[in-house]
Amino acid sequence: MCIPGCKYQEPSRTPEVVSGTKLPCTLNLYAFVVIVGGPGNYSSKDPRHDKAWDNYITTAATRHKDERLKPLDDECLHFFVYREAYERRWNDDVKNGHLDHRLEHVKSIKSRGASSYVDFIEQKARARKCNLVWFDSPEDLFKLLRGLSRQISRVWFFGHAKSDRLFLRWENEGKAVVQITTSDVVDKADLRARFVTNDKDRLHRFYGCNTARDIAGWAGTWSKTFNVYSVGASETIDFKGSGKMTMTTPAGQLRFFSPLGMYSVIPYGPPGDLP
Amino acid sequence: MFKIKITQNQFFAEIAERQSQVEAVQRLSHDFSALRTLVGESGLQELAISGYKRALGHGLRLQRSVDEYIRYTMYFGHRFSEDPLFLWAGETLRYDTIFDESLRMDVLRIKVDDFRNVAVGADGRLFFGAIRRALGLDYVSLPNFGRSSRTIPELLQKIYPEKWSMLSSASKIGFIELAYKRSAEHVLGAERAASVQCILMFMLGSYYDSDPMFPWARQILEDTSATGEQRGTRLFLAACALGQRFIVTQANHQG
Repeated sequence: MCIPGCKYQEPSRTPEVVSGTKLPCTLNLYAFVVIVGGPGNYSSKDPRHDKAWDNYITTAATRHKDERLKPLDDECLHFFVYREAYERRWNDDVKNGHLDHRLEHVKSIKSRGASSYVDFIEQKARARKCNLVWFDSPEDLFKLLRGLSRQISRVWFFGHAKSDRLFLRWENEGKAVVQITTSDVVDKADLRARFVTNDKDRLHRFYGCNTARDIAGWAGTWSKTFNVYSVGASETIDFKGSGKMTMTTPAGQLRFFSPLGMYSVIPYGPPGDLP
Repeated sequence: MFKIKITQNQFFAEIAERQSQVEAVQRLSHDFSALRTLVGESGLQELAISGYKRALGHGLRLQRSVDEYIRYTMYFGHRFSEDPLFLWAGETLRYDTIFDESLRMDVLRIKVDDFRNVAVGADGRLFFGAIRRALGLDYVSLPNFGRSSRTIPELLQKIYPEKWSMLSSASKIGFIELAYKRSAEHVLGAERAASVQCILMFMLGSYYDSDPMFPWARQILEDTSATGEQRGTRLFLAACALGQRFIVTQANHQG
Protein backbone atom coordinates (compact mmCIF):
# COMPACT_ATOMS: atom_id res chain seq x y z
CA MET A 1 0.00 0.00 0.00
CA CYS A 2 1.02 3.60 -0.31
CA ILE A 3 -0.56 6.42 1.65
CA PRO A 4 -0.92 9.55 -0.47
CA GLY A 5 1.53 12.25 0.50
CA CYS A 6 3.59 10.02 2.78
CA LYS A 7 7.02 9.74 1.26
CA TYR A 8 9.10 6.69 2.00
CA GLN A 9 11.95 7.64 4.29
CA GLU A 10 15.36 6.10 4.67
CA PRO A 11 15.73 4.92 8.26
CA SER A 12 18.26 6.53 10.50
CA ARG A 13 21.66 4.87 10.56
CA THR A 14 22.24 5.76 14.21
CA PRO A 15 21.29 2.93 16.51
CA GLU A 16 19.72 3.60 19.91
CA VAL A 17 18.29 0.90 22.11
CA VAL A 18 14.65 1.59 23.06
CA SER A 19 14.01 -1.39 25.22
CA GLY A 20 15.69 -4.46 26.67
CA THR A 21 19.33 -5.27 26.91
CA LYS A 22 22.11 -4.56 24.49
CA LEU A 23 22.85 -7.58 22.29
CA PRO A 24 26.36 -8.60 21.28
CA CYS A 25 27.62 -6.43 18.43
CA THR A 26 24.24 -4.71 17.94
CA LEU A 27 25.72 -1.27 18.45
CA ASN A 28 28.96 -1.95 16.60
CA LEU A 29 29.63 0.49 13.82
CA TYR A 30 31.12 -1.69 11.13
CA ALA A 31 30.27 -4.84 9.19
CA PHE A 32 32.93 -7.47 8.60
CA VAL A 33 31.53 -9.39 5.63
CA VAL A 34 32.62 -12.93 4.81
CA ILE A 35 31.45 -14.08 1.39
CA VAL A 36 31.43 -17.82 0.84
CA GLY A 37 31.05 -19.24 -2.65
CA GLY A 38 29.78 -22.71 -3.31
CA PRO A 39 30.94 -25.94 -4.87
CA GLY A 40 30.11 -27.12 -8.35
CA ASN A 41 28.65 -30.55 -8.91
CA TYR A 42 31.31 -33.23 -8.63
CA SER A 43 32.55 -34.72 -11.88
CA SER A 44 34.69 -37.87 -11.86
CA LYS A 45 36.33 -36.52 -15.03
CA ASP A 46 37.61 -33.57 -13.01
CA PRO A 47 38.50 -35.04 -9.60
CA ARG A 48 40.75 -32.07 -8.71
CA HIS A 49 37.77 -29.79 -8.17
CA ASP A 50 35.11 -29.88 -5.48
CA LYS A 51 35.53 -33.46 -4.41
CA ALA A 52 34.19 -32.31 -1.03
CA TRP A 53 31.00 -30.25 -1.00
CA ASP A 54 32.11 -28.17 1.99
CA ASN A 55 35.56 -26.95 0.90
CA TYR A 56 34.80 -23.27 1.26
CA ILE A 57 32.28 -23.13 4.07
CA THR A 58 34.44 -25.39 6.28
CA THR A 59 37.54 -23.33 5.56
CA ALA A 60 35.73 -20.18 6.67
CA ALA A 61 34.14 -21.92 9.68
CA THR A 62 37.48 -23.33 10.81
CA ARG A 63 39.05 -19.89 10.78
CA HIS A 64 36.09 -18.54 12.71
CA LYS A 65 36.44 -21.27 15.29
CA ASP A 66 40.18 -20.86 15.81
CA GLU A 67 39.80 -17.04 15.69
CA ARG A 68 41.91 -16.39 12.63
CA LEU A 69 38.67 -14.93 11.32
CA LYS A 70 37.69 -12.67 14.19
CA PRO A 71 35.83 -9.36 14.21
CA LEU A 72 37.47 -6.37 15.85
CA ASP A 73 35.71 -4.79 18.82
CA ASP A 74 33.83 -2.35 16.61
CA GLU A 75 32.82 -4.90 13.97
CA CYS A 76 29.85 -7.20 13.56
CA LEU A 77 30.54 -10.37 11.59
CA HIS A 78 28.22 -11.30 8.71
CA PHE A 79 28.45 -14.49 6.63
CA PHE A 80 26.93 -14.15 3.15
CA VAL A 81 26.74 -17.59 1.53
CA TYR A 82 25.76 -18.43 -2.04
CA ARG A 83 22.82 -20.78 -1.49
CA GLU A 84 22.08 -21.99 -5.01
CA ALA A 85 25.37 -23.89 -5.30
CA TYR A 86 24.70 -25.84 -2.09
CA GLU A 87 21.14 -26.71 -3.12
CA ARG A 88 22.31 -27.80 -6.53
CA ARG A 89 25.17 -29.86 -5.16
CA TRP A 90 22.88 -31.56 -2.62
CA ASN A 91 20.38 -32.54 -5.32
CA ASP A 92 23.17 -33.89 -7.49
CA ASP A 93 24.85 -35.79 -4.64
CA VAL A 94 21.55 -37.37 -3.61
CA LYS A 95 20.83 -38.36 -7.21
CA ASN A 96 24.29 -39.58 -8.22
CA GLY A 97 26.05 -40.06 -4.90
CA HIS A 98 25.74 -43.87 -4.93
CA LEU A 99 28.44 -43.85 -7.63
CA ASP A 100 31.29 -42.67 -5.39
CA HIS A 101 32.35 -40.91 -2.15
CA ARG A 102 29.35 -38.58 -2.27
CA LEU A 103 27.16 -41.27 -0.77
CA GLU A 104 29.18 -40.91 2.44
CA HIS A 105 28.66 -37.14 2.41
CA VAL A 106 24.90 -37.50 2.08
CA LYS A 107 24.78 -40.20 4.79
CA SER A 108 26.89 -38.06 7.10
CA ILE A 109 24.58 -35.07 6.72
CA LYS A 110 21.45 -37.16 7.34
CA SER A 111 22.99 -38.90 10.32
CA ARG A 112 23.50 -35.48 11.93
CA GLY A 113 19.80 -34.75 11.64
CA ALA A 114 20.02 -32.31 8.72
CA SER A 115 17.89 -32.59 5.61
CA SER A 116 20.37 -31.03 3.17
CA TYR A 117 23.66 -29.13 2.98
CA VAL A 118 21.74 -25.87 3.37
CA ASP A 119 19.98 -27.19 6.47
CA PHE A 120 23.30 -28.43 7.87
CA ILE A 121 24.97 -25.04 7.37
CA GLU A 122 22.00 -23.34 9.07
CA GLN A 123 22.23 -25.73 12.03
CA LYS A 124 25.91 -24.90 12.43
CA ALA A 125 25.22 -21.16 12.14
CA ARG A 126 22.52 -21.35 14.82
CA ALA A 127 24.72 -23.39 17.14
CA ARG A 128 27.55 -20.90 16.85
CA LYS A 129 25.34 -17.81 16.75
CA CYS A 130 26.72 -16.70 13.38
CA ASN A 131 24.86 -14.18 11.28
CA LEU A 132 24.18 -16.20 8.15
CA VAL A 133 22.49 -14.60 5.16
CA TRP A 134 21.88 -16.61 2.01
CA PHE A 135 22.06 -14.94 -1.36
CA ASP A 136 21.12 -16.32 -4.77
CA SER A 137 22.90 -14.21 -7.38
CA PRO A 138 25.69 -11.65 -7.80
CA GLU A 139 22.99 -8.94 -7.94
CA ASP A 140 21.68 -10.12 -4.57
CA LEU A 141 25.17 -9.88 -3.13
CA PHE A 142 25.63 -6.29 -4.29
CA LYS A 143 22.17 -5.41 -2.97
CA LEU A 144 23.23 -6.77 0.42
CA LEU A 145 26.49 -4.84 0.42
CA ARG A 146 24.67 -1.69 -0.63
CA GLY A 147 21.83 -2.20 1.84
CA LEU A 148 23.85 -2.64 5.02
CA SER A 149 23.20 0.11 7.52
CA ARG A 150 26.73 -0.32 8.88
CA GLN A 151 29.79 0.71 6.95
CA ILE A 152 31.75 -2.23 5.60
CA SER A 153 35.12 -2.50 7.27
CA ARG A 154 36.36 -5.69 5.61
CA VAL A 155 35.37 -8.29 3.03
CA TRP A 156 36.82 -11.79 2.99
CA PHE A 157 36.07 -14.32 0.29
CA PHE A 158 36.40 -18.10 0.18
CA GLY A 159 35.69 -19.87 -3.10
CA HIS A 160 36.65 -20.52 -6.68
CA ALA A 161 38.37 -17.65 -8.45
CA LYS A 162 40.71 -16.72 -11.21
CA SER A 163 42.83 -13.67 -11.80
CA ASP A 164 40.08 -11.22 -12.72
CA ARG A 165 36.99 -12.77 -11.17
CA LEU A 166 35.42 -14.57 -8.22
CA PHE A 167 33.21 -17.55 -8.92
CA LEU A 168 30.20 -18.11 -6.72
CA ARG A 169 29.90 -21.45 -8.50
CA TRP A 170 32.26 -23.06 -10.99
CA GLU A 171 31.92 -26.41 -12.68
CA ASN A 172 32.24 -28.43 -15.86
CA GLU A 173 35.68 -27.04 -16.57
CA GLY A 174 34.42 -23.49 -16.41
CA LYS A 175 31.42 -23.97 -18.70
CA ALA A 176 28.81 -23.39 -16.00
CA VAL A 177 29.73 -20.50 -13.76
CA VAL A 178 28.22 -17.76 -11.64
CA GLN A 179 30.80 -15.03 -11.35
CA ILE A 180 31.66 -11.48 -10.39
CA THR A 181 34.32 -9.87 -12.55
CA THR A 182 36.60 -6.90 -12.00
CA SER A 183 34.42 -4.99 -14.50
CA ASP A 184 31.42 -5.58 -12.20
CA VAL A 185 33.46 -4.12 -9.34
CA VAL A 186 34.43 -1.05 -11.35
CA ASP A 187 30.77 -0.60 -12.35
CA LYS A 188 29.87 -0.57 -8.64
CA ALA A 189 32.51 2.03 -7.73
CA ASP A 190 29.82 4.14 -6.02
CA LEU A 191 29.82 1.51 -3.27
CA ARG A 192 33.07 3.07 -2.08
CA ALA A 193 31.02 5.33 0.17
CA ARG A 194 29.84 2.24 2.02
CA PHE A 195 33.41 1.13 2.87
CA VAL A 196 35.79 2.10 5.63
CA THR A 197 38.57 3.34 3.38
CA ASN A 198 42.33 3.57 3.55
CA ASP A 199 42.71 1.59 6.78
CA LYS A 200 45.70 -0.75 6.70
CA ASP A 201 44.47 -2.63 9.78
CA ARG A 202 41.30 -3.66 8.00
CA LEU A 203 42.62 -5.96 5.35
CA HIS A 204 40.27 -7.45 2.75
CA ARG A 205 41.24 -11.04 1.93
CA PHE A 206 40.41 -13.07 -1.14
CA TYR A 207 41.02 -16.77 -0.68
CA GLY A 208 40.59 -18.02 -4.22
CA CYS A 209 42.97 -19.07 -6.97
CA ASN A 210 45.08 -16.33 -8.59
CA THR A 211 43.20 -13.41 -7.02
CA ALA A 212 46.49 -11.49 -6.87
CA ARG A 213 48.19 -12.62 -10.05
CA ASP A 214 48.87 -9.02 -11.09
CA ILE A 215 47.98 -5.44 -10.24
CA ALA A 216 45.03 -5.42 -12.65
CA GLY A 217 43.66 -8.60 -11.12
CA TRP A 218 40.89 -9.06 -8.58
CA ALA A 219 42.56 -7.90 -5.34
CA GLY A 220 44.34 -4.96 -7.03
CA THR A 221 41.13 -3.77 -8.67
CA TRP A 222 39.20 -4.15 -5.43
CA SER A 223 41.76 -2.08 -3.52
CA LYS A 224 41.92 0.64 -6.14
CA THR A 225 38.13 0.85 -6.66
CA PHE A 226 37.09 0.92 -3.02
CA ASN A 227 40.20 2.60 -1.60
CA VAL A 228 40.99 -0.27 0.76
CA TYR A 229 43.88 -2.63 1.55
CA SER A 230 43.62 -6.20 0.34
CA VAL A 231 45.49 -9.46 -0.06
CA GLY A 232 45.14 -12.32 -2.52
CA ALA A 233 46.97 -15.37 -3.82
CA SER A 234 49.46 -15.25 -6.68
CA GLU A 235 48.88 -18.92 -7.57
CA THR A 236 46.21 -21.57 -7.30
CA ILE A 237 45.00 -22.59 -3.85
CA ASP A 238 44.26 -26.12 -2.77
CA PHE A 239 41.25 -26.30 -0.42
CA LYS A 240 41.71 -29.46 1.59
CA GLY A 241 38.12 -29.92 2.77
CA SER A 242 39.39 -30.22 6.36
CA GLY A 243 39.53 -26.45 6.74
CA LYS A 244 43.11 -26.20 5.56
CA MET A 245 44.18 -24.44 2.40
CA THR A 246 47.60 -24.23 0.82
CA MET A 247 49.15 -22.80 -2.30
CA THR A 248 49.66 -25.52 -4.88
CA THR A 249 53.18 -24.51 -5.95
CA PRO A 250 56.29 -23.57 -3.94
CA ALA A 251 56.38 -20.24 -5.79
CA GLY A 252 53.03 -19.26 -4.25
CA GLN A 253 52.82 -15.86 -2.58
CA LEU A 254 50.35 -13.76 -0.68
CA ARG A 255 50.37 -10.34 -2.32
CA PHE A 256 49.23 -7.22 -0.53
CA PHE A 257 47.66 -4.23 -2.25
CA SER A 258 47.04 -0.68 -1.16
CA PRO A 259 44.74 1.65 -3.12
CA LEU A 260 47.88 2.68 -4.99
CA GLY A 261 49.21 -0.75 -5.94
CA MET A 262 51.07 -3.82 -4.69
CA TYR A 263 53.18 -3.03 -1.63
CA SER A 264 54.21 -6.30 -0.05
CA VAL A 265 54.71 -9.99 -0.79
CA ILE A 266 54.96 -12.97 1.55
CA PRO A 267 56.15 -16.31 0.16
CA TYR A 268 53.66 -18.99 1.17
CA GLY A 269 54.59 -22.20 -0.53
CA PRO A 270 53.05 -25.53 0.50
CA PRO A 271 52.51 -27.07 2.98
CA GLY A 272 51.85 -23.82 4.87
CA ASP A 273 48.20 -23.42 5.90
CA LEU A 274 47.10 -19.98 4.74
CA PRO A 275 46.24 -17.51 7.51
CA MET B 1 13.08 -5.75 49.96
CA PHE B 2 13.68 -7.92 46.92
CA LYS B 3 9.97 -7.74 46.03
CA ILE B 4 10.01 -3.98 46.30
CA LYS B 5 12.98 -3.82 43.99
CA ILE B 6 11.24 -5.96 41.36
CA THR B 7 8.11 -3.81 41.61
CA GLN B 8 10.17 -0.65 41.28
CA ASN B 9 12.01 -2.03 38.29
CA GLN B 10 8.73 -2.99 36.63
CA PHE B 11 7.34 0.45 37.35
CA PHE B 12 10.34 2.20 35.81
CA ALA B 13 10.40 -0.19 32.86
CA GLU B 14 6.73 0.58 32.22
CA ILE B 15 7.36 4.31 32.41
CA ALA B 16 10.31 3.97 30.03
CA GLU B 17 8.27 1.92 27.61
CA ARG B 18 5.36 4.39 27.75
CA GLN B 19 7.80 7.21 27.10
CA SER B 20 9.29 5.33 24.12
CA GLN B 21 5.78 4.79 22.76
CA VAL B 22 4.96 8.47 23.10
CA GLU B 23 8.16 9.43 21.32
CA ALA B 24 7.50 6.92 18.54
CA VAL B 25 4.02 8.38 18.05
CA GLN B 26 5.45 11.91 17.92
CA ARG B 27 8.05 10.99 15.33
CA LEU B 28 5.53 9.17 13.18
CA SER B 29 2.89 11.87 13.51
CA HIS B 30 5.39 14.20 11.93
CA ASP B 31 6.39 11.79 9.13
CA PHE B 32 2.86 10.69 8.36
CA SER B 33 1.01 13.96 8.64
CA ALA B 34 -1.04 13.13 5.53
CA LEU B 35 -2.26 9.97 7.22
CA ARG B 36 -3.80 12.07 9.99
CA THR B 37 -6.33 13.38 7.50
CA LEU B 38 -7.44 9.82 6.82
CA VAL B 39 -7.55 8.31 10.30
CA GLY B 40 -7.43 11.26 12.69
CA GLU B 41 -5.08 11.81 15.61
CA SER B 42 -6.39 8.91 17.69
CA GLY B 43 -6.21 6.52 14.74
CA LEU B 44 -2.62 7.53 14.12
CA GLN B 45 -1.78 6.95 17.77
CA GLU B 46 -3.46 3.56 17.76
CA LEU B 47 -1.47 2.60 14.66
CA ALA B 48 1.83 3.68 16.15
CA ILE B 49 1.22 1.99 19.50
CA SER B 50 0.12 -1.32 17.96
CA GLY B 51 3.10 -1.18 15.60
CA TYR B 52 5.40 -0.47 18.53
CA LYS B 53 4.12 -3.50 20.44
CA ARG B 54 4.41 -5.78 17.43
CA ALA B 55 7.95 -4.58 16.75
CA LEU B 56 8.92 -5.48 20.31
CA GLY B 57 7.20 -8.82 19.82
CA HIS B 58 9.60 -9.49 16.95
CA GLY B 59 12.49 -8.85 19.30
CA LEU B 60 13.35 -5.45 17.84
CA ARG B 61 15.15 -3.30 20.38
CA LEU B 62 16.70 -0.46 18.41
CA GLN B 63 14.77 2.75 18.02
CA ARG B 64 15.46 2.93 14.32
CA SER B 65 14.29 -0.70 13.84
CA VAL B 66 11.09 -0.05 15.76
CA ASP B 67 10.39 3.14 13.79
CA GLU B 68 11.10 1.35 10.54
CA TYR B 69 8.80 -1.52 11.50
CA ILE B 70 5.98 0.89 12.36
CA ARG B 71 6.45 2.63 9.00
CA TYR B 72 6.09 -0.71 7.27
CA THR B 73 2.82 -1.34 9.12
CA MET B 74 1.56 1.89 7.59
CA TYR B 75 2.61 0.86 4.10
CA PHE B 76 1.72 -2.82 4.15
CA GLY B 77 -0.91 -3.16 6.88
CA HIS B 78 -0.73 -3.44 10.65
CA ARG B 79 -0.11 -7.21 10.61
CA PHE B 80 2.09 -7.28 7.51
CA SER B 81 4.59 -9.63 9.09
CA GLU B 82 1.88 -12.31 9.34
CA ASP B 83 0.33 -11.52 5.98
CA PRO B 84 0.59 -14.22 3.28
CA LEU B 85 0.90 -11.40 0.74
CA PHE B 86 4.24 -10.53 2.32
CA LEU B 87 5.56 -13.94 3.34
CA TRP B 88 9.11 -12.67 2.86
CA ALA B 89 8.60 -10.10 5.63
CA GLY B 90 7.59 -12.61 8.28
CA GLU B 91 10.29 -15.02 7.18
CA THR B 92 12.95 -12.34 7.41
CA LEU B 93 11.85 -11.15 10.83
CA ARG B 94 11.85 -14.73 12.07
CA TYR B 95 15.21 -15.72 10.54
CA ASP B 96 16.91 -17.68 13.25
CA THR B 97 20.28 -17.55 11.51
CA ILE B 98 20.52 -13.76 11.70
CA PHE B 99 21.18 -12.85 15.29
CA ASP B 100 22.04 -9.24 14.69
CA GLU B 101 18.98 -6.99 14.63
CA SER B 102 20.51 -4.38 12.34
CA LEU B 103 21.40 -7.00 9.76
CA ARG B 104 17.92 -8.55 9.95
CA MET B 105 16.35 -5.14 9.33
CA ASP B 106 18.82 -4.49 6.51
CA VAL B 107 17.74 -7.72 4.79
CA LEU B 108 14.07 -6.82 5.36
CA ARG B 109 14.63 -3.34 3.90
CA ILE B 110 16.25 -4.81 0.78
CA LYS B 111 13.19 -7.01 0.27
CA VAL B 112 10.84 -4.10 0.91
CA ASP B 113 12.72 -2.06 -1.69
CA ASP B 114 12.46 -4.92 -4.20
CA PHE B 115 8.72 -5.05 -3.59
CA ARG B 116 8.31 -1.29 -3.81
CA ASN B 117 10.28 -1.08 -7.04
CA VAL B 118 8.21 -3.74 -8.75
CA ALA B 119 4.77 -3.34 -7.21
CA VAL B 120 4.44 0.24 -5.98
CA GLY B 121 6.57 2.30 -8.34
CA ALA B 122 7.77 5.87 -8.05
CA ASP B 123 5.32 8.00 -6.01
CA GLY B 124 3.00 5.00 -5.76
CA ARG B 125 2.19 5.20 -9.47
CA LEU B 126 1.43 1.47 -9.79
CA PHE B 127 -0.64 1.36 -6.61
CA PHE B 128 -2.78 4.29 -7.72
CA GLY B 129 -3.15 2.68 -11.15
CA ALA B 130 -4.54 -0.38 -9.37
CA ILE B 131 -6.94 1.80 -7.36
CA ARG B 132 -8.22 3.37 -10.56
CA ARG B 133 -8.82 -0.06 -12.07
CA ALA B 134 -10.56 -1.22 -8.89
CA LEU B 135 -12.79 1.86 -8.97
CA GLY B 136 -13.95 0.74 -12.41
CA LEU B 137 -15.45 -2.45 -10.93
CA ASP B 138 -19.19 -2.88 -10.67
CA TYR B 139 -20.56 -4.65 -7.58
CA VAL B 140 -23.30 -6.42 -9.48
CA SER B 141 -20.94 -7.96 -11.99
CA LEU B 142 -18.33 -9.16 -9.47
CA PRO B 143 -17.55 -12.86 -9.82
CA ASN B 144 -18.41 -15.36 -7.12
CA PHE B 145 -15.71 -16.20 -4.64
CA GLY B 146 -14.82 -19.88 -4.66
CA ARG B 147 -11.81 -21.34 -2.90
CA SER B 148 -10.59 -23.20 -5.98
CA SER B 149 -12.16 -20.96 -8.60
CA ARG B 150 -9.77 -19.20 -10.99
CA THR B 151 -11.99 -16.17 -11.50
CA ILE B 152 -10.91 -14.28 -8.37
CA PRO B 153 -7.15 -14.78 -8.93
CA GLU B 154 -7.66 -13.66 -12.52
CA LEU B 155 -9.53 -10.57 -11.36
CA LEU B 156 -6.85 -9.70 -8.78
CA GLN B 157 -4.18 -10.07 -11.44
CA LYS B 158 -6.15 -7.79 -13.74
CA ILE B 159 -6.60 -5.12 -11.08
CA TYR B 160 -3.03 -5.09 -9.78
CA PRO B 161 -0.77 -7.21 -12.02
CA GLU B 162 2.46 -5.82 -10.53
CA LYS B 163 1.57 -6.96 -7.03
CA TRP B 164 0.21 -10.30 -8.18
CA SER B 165 3.45 -10.97 -10.06
CA MET B 166 5.42 -10.56 -6.81
CA LEU B 167 3.53 -13.36 -5.07
CA SER B 168 5.04 -16.82 -4.84
CA SER B 169 2.69 -19.76 -5.31
CA ALA B 170 2.81 -20.35 -1.54
CA SER B 171 1.75 -16.72 -1.06
CA LYS B 172 -1.14 -17.05 -3.48
CA ILE B 173 -2.41 -20.25 -1.92
CA GLY B 174 -2.03 -18.85 1.60
CA PHE B 175 -3.80 -15.65 0.65
CA ILE B 176 -6.81 -17.32 -0.98
CA GLU B 177 -7.12 -19.69 1.99
CA LEU B 178 -7.01 -16.75 4.40
CA ALA B 179 -9.54 -14.77 2.35
CA TYR B 180 -11.88 -17.76 2.45
CA LYS B 181 -11.39 -18.13 6.19
CA ARG B 182 -11.91 -14.42 6.94
CA SER B 183 -15.11 -14.35 4.84
CA ALA B 184 -16.41 -17.34 6.78
CA GLU B 185 -15.51 -15.71 10.11
CA HIS B 186 -17.47 -12.61 9.12
CA VAL B 187 -20.33 -14.86 8.01
CA LEU B 188 -20.53 -12.98 4.75
CA GLY B 189 -22.39 -15.81 3.06
CA ALA B 190 -23.14 -13.87 -0.09
CA GLU B 191 -20.61 -14.72 -2.78
CA ARG B 192 -20.14 -11.18 -4.07
CA ALA B 193 -19.63 -9.86 -0.54
CA ALA B 194 -16.86 -12.43 -0.09
CA SER B 195 -15.35 -11.26 -3.37
CA VAL B 196 -15.31 -7.64 -2.14
CA GLN B 197 -13.64 -8.79 1.06
CA CYS B 198 -11.00 -10.67 -0.95
CA ILE B 199 -10.26 -7.70 -3.25
CA LEU B 200 -9.92 -5.35 -0.27
CA MET B 201 -7.60 -7.79 1.48
CA PHE B 202 -5.46 -7.90 -1.64
CA MET B 203 -5.36 -4.12 -2.05
CA LEU B 204 -5.05 -2.98 1.57
CA GLY B 205 -3.40 -5.92 3.32
CA SER B 206 -4.91 -9.24 4.39
CA TYR B 207 -5.79 -7.95 7.86
CA TYR B 208 -7.25 -4.64 6.72
CA ASP B 209 -10.52 -5.50 8.50
CA SER B 210 -8.84 -5.09 11.90
CA ASP B 211 -6.40 -2.37 10.85
CA PRO B 212 -6.78 0.91 12.80
CA MET B 213 -6.23 2.62 9.46
CA PHE B 214 -9.62 1.42 8.18
CA PRO B 215 -12.02 1.59 11.18
CA TRP B 216 -15.04 1.66 8.84
CA ALA B 217 -14.30 -1.90 7.67
CA ARG B 218 -14.56 -3.30 11.17
CA GLN B 219 -17.78 -1.37 11.80
CA ILE B 220 -19.42 -2.68 8.65
CA LEU B 221 -18.27 -6.28 8.99
CA GLU B 222 -19.28 -6.50 12.66
CA ASP B 223 -22.77 -5.10 12.09
CA THR B 224 -24.71 -8.28 12.78
CA SER B 225 -28.03 -6.59 12.08
CA ALA B 226 -27.22 -6.50 8.35
CA THR B 227 -27.20 -9.44 5.96
CA GLY B 228 -24.02 -10.57 4.23
CA GLU B 229 -25.21 -9.04 0.98
CA GLN B 230 -25.96 -5.70 2.68
CA ARG B 231 -22.57 -5.64 4.37
CA GLY B 232 -20.89 -6.52 1.08
CA THR B 233 -22.60 -3.62 -0.66
CA ARG B 234 -21.69 -1.19 2.13
CA LEU B 235 -18.11 -2.44 2.13
CA PHE B 236 -17.93 -1.91 -1.60
CA LEU B 237 -19.28 1.64 -1.38
CA ALA B 238 -17.00 2.56 1.54
CA ALA B 239 -14.00 1.18 -0.34
CA CYS B 240 -14.94 3.20 -3.43
CA ALA B 241 -15.15 6.36 -1.29
CA LEU B 242 -11.72 5.60 0.20
CA GLY B 243 -10.28 4.97 -3.26
CA GLN B 244 -11.62 8.31 -4.46
CA ARG B 245 -10.09 10.05 -1.44
CA PHE B 246 -6.76 8.39 -2.10
CA ILE B 247 -6.81 9.57 -5.70
CA VAL B 248 -7.81 13.13 -4.76
CA THR B 249 -5.26 13.36 -1.92
CA GLN B 250 -2.53 12.03 -4.20
CA ALA B 251 -3.47 14.52 -6.92
CA ASN B 252 -3.33 17.37 -4.38
CA HIS B 253 0.09 16.28 -3.14
CA GLN B 254 1.41 15.99 -6.68
CA GLY B 255 -0.12 19.31 -7.62
